[in-house]
Amino acid sequence: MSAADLAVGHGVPTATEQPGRREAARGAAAMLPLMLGYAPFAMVLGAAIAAHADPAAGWAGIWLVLGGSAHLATLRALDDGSAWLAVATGLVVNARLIVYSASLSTVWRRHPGWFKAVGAALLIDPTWAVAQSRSGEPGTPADQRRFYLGAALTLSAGWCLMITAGMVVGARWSERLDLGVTVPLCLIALVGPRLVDRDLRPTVVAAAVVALVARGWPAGSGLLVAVVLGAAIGTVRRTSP
Amino acid sequence: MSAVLAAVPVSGSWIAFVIVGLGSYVFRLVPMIVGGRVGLSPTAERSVHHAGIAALTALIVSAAVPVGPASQVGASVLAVGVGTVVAIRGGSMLRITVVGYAVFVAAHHLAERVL
Repeated sequence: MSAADLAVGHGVPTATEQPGRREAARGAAAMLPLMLGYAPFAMVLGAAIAAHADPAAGWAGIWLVLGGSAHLATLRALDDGSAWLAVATGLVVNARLIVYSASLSTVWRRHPGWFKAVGAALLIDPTWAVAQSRSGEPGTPADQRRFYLGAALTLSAGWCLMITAGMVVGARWSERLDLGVTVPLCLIALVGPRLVDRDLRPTVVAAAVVALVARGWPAGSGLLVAVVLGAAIGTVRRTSP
Repeated sequence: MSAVLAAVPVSGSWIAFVIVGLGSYVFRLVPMIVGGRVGLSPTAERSVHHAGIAALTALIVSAAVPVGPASQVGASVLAVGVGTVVAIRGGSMLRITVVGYAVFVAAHHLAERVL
């Protein structure tokens, strides 16, 4: 075993075991408030799955799709009777994952293949945000992996439990609490410092305006326009004198 | 496969979720692997970084401006505004969530009484 292996955490955990556990616990703790915020959405999705013609397939979609918006959009299109439209809709809504994945290619370059394969399976908006955020903090790649896996597994397990609860009890009680507002609050917490980055400001403003204007657009197409615009602004500002 | 999807709705659901799941996994994995091996140019790296921030911003805005009565929308926007200020000042996620949610509940309650 080389020194490089030990440095990236391939070796048998010894003195670094406790810090490693702490990293996983930190990652899990970062996700707990966010799960509270996602509870209403999970309940709504659970209620939709329970009402679907094949609830078992709908439930399996939790792990297959691992994305609430795409899952719900697919489910609704299936309920309308069009399986191919459901596939197209689900894929369009999840197309933003291409951007998330590409942006992690540099951040995760030093990580082993198994982690990329597992990490990619759990990649979604909040886990992407914590991966980006953690990469800017001190620590070894092994610390980053433990933090990410702690966060992502907590989110996935909690997400599954909340949706299952929604299938049983329905969405009514969570709607009364109006917990939906905690979702943007948690996401802001994940990207907070970047919101004031002067370099990113035009991108943030443009994406916010597009998202407002395109709120009613179908199948997450507004999100895709915001992504394309954000990429274009990043490119233009690079090439401008 | 088209005939199967159309004629057997139960199996159609399974097939649809499996295809969406596999496609989503390709979206999640392939750019990461290709980008890591080929290496992105500085311009492409910058574009991808901006695109990611744009996606997250769009998600925040679309979640912050819900479809609902004016009192709910106003309270939500106010709460997210306050949460943004707390975030910029370096507040923790818990603080941002608690403060923002408290503002939302208070503003929503007030707006419903006034309107």
